[in-house]
Amino acid sequence: MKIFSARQPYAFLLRIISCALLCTLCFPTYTSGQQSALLEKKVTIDFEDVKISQALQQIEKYVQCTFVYSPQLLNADRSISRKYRNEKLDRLLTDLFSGKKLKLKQEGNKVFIGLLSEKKQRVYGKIISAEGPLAGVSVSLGAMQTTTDQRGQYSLFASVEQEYVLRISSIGYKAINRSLFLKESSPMLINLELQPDQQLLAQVDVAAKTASQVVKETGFNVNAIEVSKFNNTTRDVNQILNTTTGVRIREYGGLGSDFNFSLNGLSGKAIRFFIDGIPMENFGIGMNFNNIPVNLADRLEVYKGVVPIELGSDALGGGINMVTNKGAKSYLDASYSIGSFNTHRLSLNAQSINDTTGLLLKLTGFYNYSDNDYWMHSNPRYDAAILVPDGPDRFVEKSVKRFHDQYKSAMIQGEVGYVNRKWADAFVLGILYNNHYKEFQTGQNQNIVYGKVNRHGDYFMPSLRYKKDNLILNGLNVSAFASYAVDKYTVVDTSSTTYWWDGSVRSSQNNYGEFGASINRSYTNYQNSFLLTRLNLTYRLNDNNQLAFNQNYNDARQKSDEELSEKVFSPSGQSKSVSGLSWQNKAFGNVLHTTVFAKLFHFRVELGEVTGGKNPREAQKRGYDNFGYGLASRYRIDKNTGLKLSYEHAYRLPELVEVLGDGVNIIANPDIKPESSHNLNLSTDYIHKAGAHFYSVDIGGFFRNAKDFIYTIPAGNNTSQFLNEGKVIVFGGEAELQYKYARILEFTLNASYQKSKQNQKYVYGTQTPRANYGNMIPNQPWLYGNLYLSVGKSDWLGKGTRLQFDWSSQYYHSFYLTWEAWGSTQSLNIIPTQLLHHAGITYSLRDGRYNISAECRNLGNELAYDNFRLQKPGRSFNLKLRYFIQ
Amino acid sequence: MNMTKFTILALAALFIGTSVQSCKKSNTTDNPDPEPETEKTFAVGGLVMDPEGTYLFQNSTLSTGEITFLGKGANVTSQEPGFLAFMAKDGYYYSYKSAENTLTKYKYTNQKLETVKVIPFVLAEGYRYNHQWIDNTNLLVYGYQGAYKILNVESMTVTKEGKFDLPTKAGLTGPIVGFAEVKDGKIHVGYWYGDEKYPVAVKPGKTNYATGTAYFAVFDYPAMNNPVFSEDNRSTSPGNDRNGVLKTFRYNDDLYILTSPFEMVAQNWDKPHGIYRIKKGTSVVDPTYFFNLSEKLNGDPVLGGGYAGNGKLLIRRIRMDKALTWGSYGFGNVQEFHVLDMASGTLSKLDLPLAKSQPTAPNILADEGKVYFPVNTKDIDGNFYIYSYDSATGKLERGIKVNDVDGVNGLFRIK
Repeated sequence: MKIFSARQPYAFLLRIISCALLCTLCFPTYTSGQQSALLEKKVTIDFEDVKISQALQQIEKYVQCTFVYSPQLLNADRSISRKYRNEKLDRLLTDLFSGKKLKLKQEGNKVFIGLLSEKKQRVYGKIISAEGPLAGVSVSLGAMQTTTDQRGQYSLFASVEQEYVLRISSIGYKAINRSLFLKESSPMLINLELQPDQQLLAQVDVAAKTASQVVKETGFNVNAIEVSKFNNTTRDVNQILNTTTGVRIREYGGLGSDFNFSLNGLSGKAIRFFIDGIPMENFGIGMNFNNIPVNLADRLEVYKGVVPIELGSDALGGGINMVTNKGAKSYLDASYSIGSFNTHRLSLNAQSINDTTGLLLKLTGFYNYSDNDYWMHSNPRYDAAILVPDGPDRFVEKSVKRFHDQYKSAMIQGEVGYVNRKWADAFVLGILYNNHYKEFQTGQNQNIVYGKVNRHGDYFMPSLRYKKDNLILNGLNVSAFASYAVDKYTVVDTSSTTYWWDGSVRSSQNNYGEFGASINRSYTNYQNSFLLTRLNLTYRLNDNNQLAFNQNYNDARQKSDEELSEKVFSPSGQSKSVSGLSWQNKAFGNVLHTTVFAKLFHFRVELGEVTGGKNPREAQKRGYDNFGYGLASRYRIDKNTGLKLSYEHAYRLPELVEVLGDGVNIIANPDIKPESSHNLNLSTDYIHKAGAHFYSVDIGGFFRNAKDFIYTIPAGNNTSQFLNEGKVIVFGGEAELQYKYARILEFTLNASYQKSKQNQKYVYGTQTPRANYGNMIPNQPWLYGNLYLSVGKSDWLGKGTRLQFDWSSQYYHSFYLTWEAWGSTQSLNIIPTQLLHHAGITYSLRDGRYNISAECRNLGNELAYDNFRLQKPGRSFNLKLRYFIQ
Repeated sequence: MNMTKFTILALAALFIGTSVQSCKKSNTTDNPDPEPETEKTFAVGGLVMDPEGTYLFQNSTLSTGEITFLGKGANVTSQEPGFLAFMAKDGYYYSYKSAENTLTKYKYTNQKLETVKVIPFVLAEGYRYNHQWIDNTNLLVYGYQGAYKILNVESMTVTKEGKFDLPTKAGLTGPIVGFAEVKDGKIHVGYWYGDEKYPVAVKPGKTNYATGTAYFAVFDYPAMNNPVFSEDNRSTSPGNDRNGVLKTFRYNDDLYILTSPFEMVAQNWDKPHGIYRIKKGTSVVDPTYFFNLSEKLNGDPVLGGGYAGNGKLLIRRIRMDKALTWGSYGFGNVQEFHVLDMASGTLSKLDLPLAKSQPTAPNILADEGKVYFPVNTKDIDGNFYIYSYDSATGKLERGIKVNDVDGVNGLFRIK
């Protein structure tokens, strides 16, 4: 039977793939064997139809040696005809026994000819520099090659009982060559530290691949952002994320404000956030990406649409992972900044490791304070007037300062444990405490003014993490994490007085609080507890194949009560378990990297009995099981260019309140379905290095087909219910260009474009056609871009100093609040275009130990709105002092 | 390679960027056409769902023709007070926004609502409110817990304000005001009380919020004193708390009041929907009169309608046998229209298929002997029309065709 028919259009392609696969599998592991003078000797000799054993005798005479071998094993009775001209002896012998892998060894004038053992052993280790683990370092062992991962680790398998040269090289560092003999008995651990090549470093700052570059070279559609270059700025994590492609963060105000995070057009609960792989919701309500200072992060990974199993969560549209681990080294990074709106920010990130005992002590913390009392300006052009009463029946428009937007948050985390021990690469016990106080100045838009509403709370989380590579089996890496957290917070809306924008009293002696509607004044306490356990296992089958397994179990419990009405809400709980399995493969000599994965979601909710109130019912339980899957693949077109394709059928499981309600105001919907989406990404990346010049280009497109969005509708007097409705297609493209010249100049320009199409044909539960079926969904930013430019000079104002100027611009194109096609053009509300510029200058001394930065954000003092009628802060100045030592 | 490749990729990026730029809406020119002068002006309020957009389309008639909201009409999403419950008079729209504590006067110009004036308007517990035009210049706006203001819409000044002096009841929430109407030197107020304990209803599996009694108070107007109280337990929730939805009408100069125990308003499953009367010259509810609508409609609720004149009242029935979920009330074909002949007490079903619309929206308009109402039967026959019932002839007519919206939440006579 013919497998391939010429008529079949894919036959040619299949042939090529098959041949390539065969070549990959059959590619001989070439080894030069034991080199020696005798084996190097050049030989000129002819054989004409002689047995190999006879040929060997002739060679013995020619080079004055004796061959020791097993004629049976090597099948030396075969006849051959060969002509050799000045051929090295080892090559000659290899050719003579063509088809067999030889092991050649010389002792005196004896040359032992044996067959190469098929057994392999592992050589592994970690490559570091003075600054920590080095990713992307080239490691070669004979003909075997690999690169270090983001933790600086490498692993290679090679045939045993041979001598090799291990070569470690990375641009900007001095290469290391080390001879070794690989025994069958045990794997070989070789940790090395590379020394900078000062001559080269003076010019080139783009040498070794950063961890971010390594992440980018996986098949996932991921933006990996090195945070270190922003360490001297006063930005928070969100402000950095907001400059990357595909991400649009719409903030409601200043420091600590709420925000809406959109990733490739999907937002809200569709996007999951993680710190070191731990879901952010486990860190309580007081910690999020807009209050974490930049100095606590090492790297940010933005997974778009397709999320690796390691993050173990139900992320419909993608996930953001903040990596804090700066490696196994000692350091201290402390900073203080002061700025406009009475803003003060402190951060501390310190770690001490005793190399002898492996004892690790780590202390991390931050404190944020801001009055957020920035000016609000009347802007009737965009229907965003600031109105202040001028007498009983008249308003005047004027600029006012925000008067109730104070924000305070503090976090401290201590960790103690051991690293680099035989029994653990890391075993660390941690305790985290967080406290926050937040005032609310406005409701959903700035026409709704609050003067007393606030929220405050605290959070406590002990945790334990363990990590060990090569546990029990070579190639089996294990990491585990467990935490238990208690988050207590209170929402206070007890004021019987309401206020105008100028702080004057609007009304007093109200029964209802400022939240308005028909909600009584309230003092509501919440207590949430979270139990999280996570296990990651990876097993390296060989150099080209790795299996990974992830298990996440998350249990959340909630209790709440309202003190003024003495109303006790029904206690509730939910548990969510996500299991993931992936297979990572490198094929065609590292040309094609593929990860195939599957995720099993198990979700269980339970709600206690509700005996009174308008929606009484018995205790309820509900469970879901869903199966997601996907693929992430990168094909290396050449050493500079890659093509990436990734896909995931993703789910977001309903949350407790969405299934079972709250027993008071939200009615249960036991039939609710998980949200689901088909996510597809296609992109290409290109990197070119030429001396001190570095160029990179990333261009990609994406497609999302999401359905069954869970949303809330009113369902009675002050009650609501969650339902599934909606199908949305999102598509778009993004591009980023980057140029660097040594450590002198860096330039980045990116642009993102996206459109969301309403794809729900009928009103839910009916056959009534939706009027807007097929139209673009409004109130979504659809075109935005960023520019970043930095110019710096080292040793200019003295040895060990550096002066750096940074400029960044952000462009957000205007968009419509409502459906573009409906209503006259002149009556449509527009969220206006923003072009914001930020500039900063940093002076560092003693090789970055002392740093002082001055920064101005929103240089042009532009009236900027991310959301309709929600003005953002105007121009602000910040000064930051930072001390960094390692 | 590889500068060539780099250049190609850079050019590709530039191309994508410029292509994307060119995708933006090019039609940004303003429509300079002034609003045509017409003898009558009506407005149709259209709704597009998720995210919700609301629109007004002004037209000289509701009886003929066809309208589309695509590219036409005024987008009022950020201006409308909720459910398109504008108060309209003499060419102006008035929007009270309780969360913002403002009342704004608008004029429809060049297919856009232009602000004429906005004033501070702090109405206690004004989340739900209603209004009555006392005359052409005085607008009574009252909150559902009894706070009220009278606004002179020419000067845009509040001429009177206060709170109806209604009794509270221990253990109950309220009073919750369902209507207030100035008539014959009196102001009539209807109210009810809520029970936060949600006692179990007679109807199986249901709980009640509104207690089973309707309350009435009549004050001297404008002095707002000398209250006369009365109550009746044949129904509850006199009037309703949705602005612009029919609460009262006058027939033979008596005041008739529709009740709304319906779960979207007061939630009492055990009391029928019906009509009370306060006879001219009296200050108490007429104990001899109660027209039990539910009794004649298989127990169903009634919400919204319009008094056409000539003793003909059009009402909207919710077919509870068809309304299986909350969402059905707005988007299921559950609405039937009936005409009550006040003289004979006969109730006649209009010959229309079951239709859909928000029953809590002010989308039934009584005007000059006719009542206009939307009949959306898109999923039955592909039609969406404004119908009218003529009280003089008894004739039902199919009027203007409405295109490209999910619902009509407002019908207004502007001038």
